[in-house]
Amino acid sequence: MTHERFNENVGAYLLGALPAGERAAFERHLEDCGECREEVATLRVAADALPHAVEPVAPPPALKASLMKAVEREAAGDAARARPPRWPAWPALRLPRMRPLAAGLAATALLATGALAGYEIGRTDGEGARTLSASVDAARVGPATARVTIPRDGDQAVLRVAGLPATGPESVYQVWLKRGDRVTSQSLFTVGADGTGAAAVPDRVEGADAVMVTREPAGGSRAPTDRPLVTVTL
Amino acid sequence: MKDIRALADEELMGLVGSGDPRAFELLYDRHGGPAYSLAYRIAGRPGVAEDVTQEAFLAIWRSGERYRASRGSVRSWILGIVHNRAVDALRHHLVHDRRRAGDAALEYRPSPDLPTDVEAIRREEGGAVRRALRALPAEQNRVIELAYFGGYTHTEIAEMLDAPVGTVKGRMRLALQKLRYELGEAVA
Repeated sequence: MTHERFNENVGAYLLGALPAGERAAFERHLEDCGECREEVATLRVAADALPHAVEPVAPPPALKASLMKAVEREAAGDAARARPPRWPAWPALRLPRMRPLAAGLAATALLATGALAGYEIGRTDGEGARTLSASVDAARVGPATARVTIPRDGDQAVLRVAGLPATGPESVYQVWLKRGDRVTSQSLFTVGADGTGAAAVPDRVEGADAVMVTREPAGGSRAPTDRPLVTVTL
Repeated sequence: MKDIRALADEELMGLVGSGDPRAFELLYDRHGGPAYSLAYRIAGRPGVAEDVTQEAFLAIWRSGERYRASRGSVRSWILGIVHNRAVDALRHHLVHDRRRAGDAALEYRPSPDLPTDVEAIRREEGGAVRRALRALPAEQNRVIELAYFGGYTHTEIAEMLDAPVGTVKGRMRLALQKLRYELGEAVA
């Protein structure tokens, strides 16, 4: 098609009246044609004014709510992936013992409430597992409860919580393992609307002093930035 | 730290690009109303208008659509995305429920979060554009209505008006030229 023929399409292009194929062809032409680009820029001002002619109608509040829910969920997910806490035992996790969650189990699978249900269901608890209750800083989190279930060989302990307040998009709960003065990050989790949640303790707990939970900024921290909200003495 | 509400749209877009949900929320508060109004006018149905608006803003959040200052104001850019999606929705769903100007009683509810003077400015801007459209020759006004708000292609419009495609394209171009002139005069 010649330049003159393309040029005829400037108006239709700006009004969105070109079918997809013609539009793509016109955009390719624009890359090479200064004259058409200039005319498009000039007339675009008029096309951009057209939406202002419509009668204003307020969107339903549910639209924003639904949109922000998706956005905040994705923002939290991005933050977790960008700065994962240290998981020294991650490569050593014996995946066949867990019910497979998904191929390519990623760090963020441990950032979830429901995801750990699969983790737990995989373990048939007739294996001499121990369950320890936590002490909770009720002044800061209210009447929450927590417990850690430790399998017989001390590997893959699971922390379960109930009644913890929701963190909101800016923060996350982080699980730590304390051994002497060394405190290592284990995982991140959030709680569901009912305040329940679960998290993994990938490192072996044998010989460790305690499992702790603190609230940290979304994405986790390299070390606890505050006193523990939940402590399970081992 | 500067109050995010004091930021211009372009700066806000920078924060949105870095994944800041608060900046995105403010962007929606500023432009969601006009976006939805346009989607509703084109799609004619609240459900489709909601889907179009939500998908457009999600696409903006996910940065599949990148804002460039050369594309005009952030608002025009957003409305352009909404317009494309609304027209696509019309074409793919074959919803030939095309509203003509002034048809259904559209409920006007001012956006609750914006200061009333912003609403007043919008109404005035809207008035200027509507006046400029009315000042166009009837056949130019018609092609703009059918193309931009109706989502019809030039071929479809040529059939509807029983006119050659070349004539229809010519009218579209003339209409935009005249509109630009009228709006320029209004500002002067």
